[in-house]
Amino acid sequence: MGIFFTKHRESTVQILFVATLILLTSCANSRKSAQKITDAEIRMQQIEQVEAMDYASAAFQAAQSRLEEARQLVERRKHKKAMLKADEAIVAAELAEVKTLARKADDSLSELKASIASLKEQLNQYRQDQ
Amino acid sequence: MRKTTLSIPILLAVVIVIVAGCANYALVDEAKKDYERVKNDPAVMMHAPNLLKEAEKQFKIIGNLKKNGASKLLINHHAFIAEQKLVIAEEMATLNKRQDELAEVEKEYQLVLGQVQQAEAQLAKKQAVEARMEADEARRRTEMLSRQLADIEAEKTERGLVVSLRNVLFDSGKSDIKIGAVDNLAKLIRFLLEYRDRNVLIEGFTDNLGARSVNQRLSEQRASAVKQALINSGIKPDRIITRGYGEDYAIADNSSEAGRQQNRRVEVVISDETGTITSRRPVQ
Repeated sequence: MGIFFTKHRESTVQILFVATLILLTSCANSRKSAQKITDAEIRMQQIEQVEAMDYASAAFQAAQSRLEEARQLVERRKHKKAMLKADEAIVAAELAEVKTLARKADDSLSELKASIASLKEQLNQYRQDQ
Repeated sequence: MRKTTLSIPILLAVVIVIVAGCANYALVDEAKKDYERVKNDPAVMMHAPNLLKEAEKQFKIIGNLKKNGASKLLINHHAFIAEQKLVIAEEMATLNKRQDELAEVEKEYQLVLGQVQQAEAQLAKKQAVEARMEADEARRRTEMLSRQLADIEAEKTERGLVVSLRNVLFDSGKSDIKIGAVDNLAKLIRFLLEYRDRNVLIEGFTDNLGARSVNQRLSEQRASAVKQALINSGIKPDRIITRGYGEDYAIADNSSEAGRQQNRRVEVVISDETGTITSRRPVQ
């Protein structure tokens, strides 16, 4: 064994260096993908709170399915692909949120217009009573 | 033969290169098409220019990836991000437009609300004035009623207001109202003409001279005589009920002429505002 190391010392160091590099890169990718998935999960929670599943169900489901794909890719140790899917989930969640806010603004506008109509009716009644 | 075996792998390689070079990036094409449309939307330019820039950034990345022969998966990923950013830009423009509209409509709401509150206040003021006027009118009517009741000498009893027409006198055995006594009815008539919601029960009584049955009939005739006097003065008959009680319910001693004269009388019970009159309790 000792003779082997003495004979192939240079090659052994190179192999060990490459193996360490691969291991470190793999660990770094693993951490990054885990972080991306956490970011996507937080984003999902935020859009759940604004009721995106009701107001923008298609966008919400798109974000949710991409997050799920990212989780599955991590399990299969495909960290780079997982990061891409988590990124897509984050952007899809952003769309779901903006859509939700736009629909809510629509609803508020309709409600406000209905309130104005009701107030005007009330006003006419008061004017007739006076 | 050898030439043929060599040419097949070369041919395959050429085909792969051609296919790779002409790879179909449908997502990228679609995203670029959307970009051309969205970038000309003034609302997007006004409300979401940063999102357009983010989409442009993705297209640059896609360009570099294509040059470097990156995987289709990676290119499609950036195409997806670009597409999403464009849709978000459009939604953001819609959202901003709605928020501007909301601000305008909110102003209108506040304006109309102010008008309603003002109208409510005016109406409440008017109603308060009307209520005060009604209360004043009711008080005036009550005061007038009290004065008129005092004038006709109405007494408050458990049966209500009772006017004893002591001056409406009858000769013994007669039901004709004595001349001069008619004037005593005038105040009662004025009262009944004024308060049309009040009904009356006219009760006739006699002294104890003569047969009981005769006295009974006589008391009814005396009550009817007063009723006729009221009708002649314009009081509607359906507001008047008559009863005769004969020599019952004497209010004075029948042993003297003075007492008997008091007993030969008519009492008028005035109803409340609902027209209700409580009946007299039977003789024990």
